[in-house]
Amino acid sequence: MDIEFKLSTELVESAYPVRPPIAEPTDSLGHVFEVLQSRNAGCVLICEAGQLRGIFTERDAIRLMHRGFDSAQPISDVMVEDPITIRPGASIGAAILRMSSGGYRRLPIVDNDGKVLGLLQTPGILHYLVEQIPKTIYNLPPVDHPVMQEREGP
Amino acid sequence: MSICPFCGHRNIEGADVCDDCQEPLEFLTRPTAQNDLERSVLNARVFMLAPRVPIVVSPSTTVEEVLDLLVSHSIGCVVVVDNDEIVGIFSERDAVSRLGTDMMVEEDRPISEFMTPMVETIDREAKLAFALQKMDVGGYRHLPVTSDGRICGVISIRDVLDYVTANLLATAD
Repeated sequence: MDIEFKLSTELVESAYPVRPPIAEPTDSLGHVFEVLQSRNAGCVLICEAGQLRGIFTERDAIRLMHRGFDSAQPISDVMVEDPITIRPGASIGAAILRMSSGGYRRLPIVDNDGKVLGLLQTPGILHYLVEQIPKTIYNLPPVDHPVMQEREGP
Repeated sequence: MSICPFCGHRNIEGADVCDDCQEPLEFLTRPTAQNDLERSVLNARVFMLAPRVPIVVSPSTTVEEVLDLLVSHSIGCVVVVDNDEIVGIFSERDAVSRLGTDMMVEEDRPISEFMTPMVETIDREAKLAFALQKMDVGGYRHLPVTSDGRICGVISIRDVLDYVTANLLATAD
């Protein structure tokens, strides 16, 4: 099937969204750092009563580490409020456009009621694309340029 | 079964040369790209992504200096190079997972204690398909790009996605 057609019809749910770590706005920065480390995650979504309020990514974490911070401070002081999201049932093409135009690595998938259903990330989209052309990608030789200096055998 | 277009001899599938007339047959079994995505990853080379200039540090650079570089350049990783040889990479993920809240204690230690050694790299002349394969199978977000074994750039997963989807989505809209 045509790849352009697939990108405009297949849903974000097929691009391997993950279950993101979630924290409360009142949680401390120290706790959020622990979550980032223990889940080996790139971001934490901040939700209040099931509603998405903000996002705290590793890039934000680096800025804080550089500047110095108080680990008792609540996450709501430093999170990015109301992040760009995508609805369940949107096409993968639409998600890619939204990510590349804004320079985002991840998009929370949020339904009409503001409930978080998952997190779409660039590695998931890459994996989806690779799966469209598995023969090309998985049959590659181990080195980029196999050039034999000498013939094999005697 | 591949039938020789020159003499009609029935050769075994995949034969390079016709058994009967010795004409070359390899063009019959050469793989062809099935769609635009496949075509673009097979035709494009890594240098076509215009890899950004890498931020290079030496193994003895302190954690504090490296963090300065990450923040001031708004980039995701620095490449650690010793005598023109890539010895490690230090990314935002490494910073958060290996330093985290201990930052104040560790800031004078050398970066070589926290970097990821044995970096996967890619040649600037390599096909884009290799970059996709390394990133997908290895789970890497950044790949240092080399030219004759020396670092000349860094590509990220977003550079690759933007490049391969730019053409696909331009026609989709």
